[in-house]
Amino acid sequence: MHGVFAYVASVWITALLVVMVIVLIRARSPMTRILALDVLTLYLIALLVVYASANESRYFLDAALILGLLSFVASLVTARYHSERKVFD
Amino acid sequence: MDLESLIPWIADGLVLIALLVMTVGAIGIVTMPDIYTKLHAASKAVFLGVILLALAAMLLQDMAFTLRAALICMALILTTPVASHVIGRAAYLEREHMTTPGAVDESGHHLADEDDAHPIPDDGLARREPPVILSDEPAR
Repeated sequence: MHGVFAYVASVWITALLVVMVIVLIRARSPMTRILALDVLTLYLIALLVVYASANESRYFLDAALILGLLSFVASLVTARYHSERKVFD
Repeated sequence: MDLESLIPWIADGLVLIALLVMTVGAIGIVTMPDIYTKLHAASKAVFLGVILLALAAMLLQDMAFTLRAALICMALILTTPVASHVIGRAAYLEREHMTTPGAVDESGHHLADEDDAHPIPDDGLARREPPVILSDEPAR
């Protein structure tokens, strides 16, 4: 992508990150907080992909992959523990 | 103008569509009334925006970059529906009310009722009790 588009995308995704942090802080139920954390990590992955593509450096994609897998495990464990008080059967 | 010089512009268009879709997802999460409808915006819109961004990056870079971006797409496709389903199931097990207008609860647990037949525990004490595991018959 052209440089201007990468810059605009970075700024825009950062604004969405700030919106999601506000949702995370002001959420009423714990499940909404877990959901907001999940979406926050998705925005972080998007930011890392844009940054890696703009700098032509593929090492940021490894960080994005690890972040995605960690957020999956985190939302799984927190949601299951909060609702059933056990993680594994 | 050959096809080769069009590829950066196609990538720019994909990035713009991805930003639009992710913004729609954020608006959905902010404005939807309860967790069950917020899950729609979170698990579809934002996730598709990330996939579109990875596609735009794949169009421009070399093979190593493309394979890693494809790996990220695969991981997201496999994990995002599972995480959303677990969050929705946890909200259902905790008896979160459906506050969407016109909501219908077909499970028999009356989560869409407005008369607080099964109120959510508001104090921190009630949440520390072991939750009721759902059975097949309805609650009342």
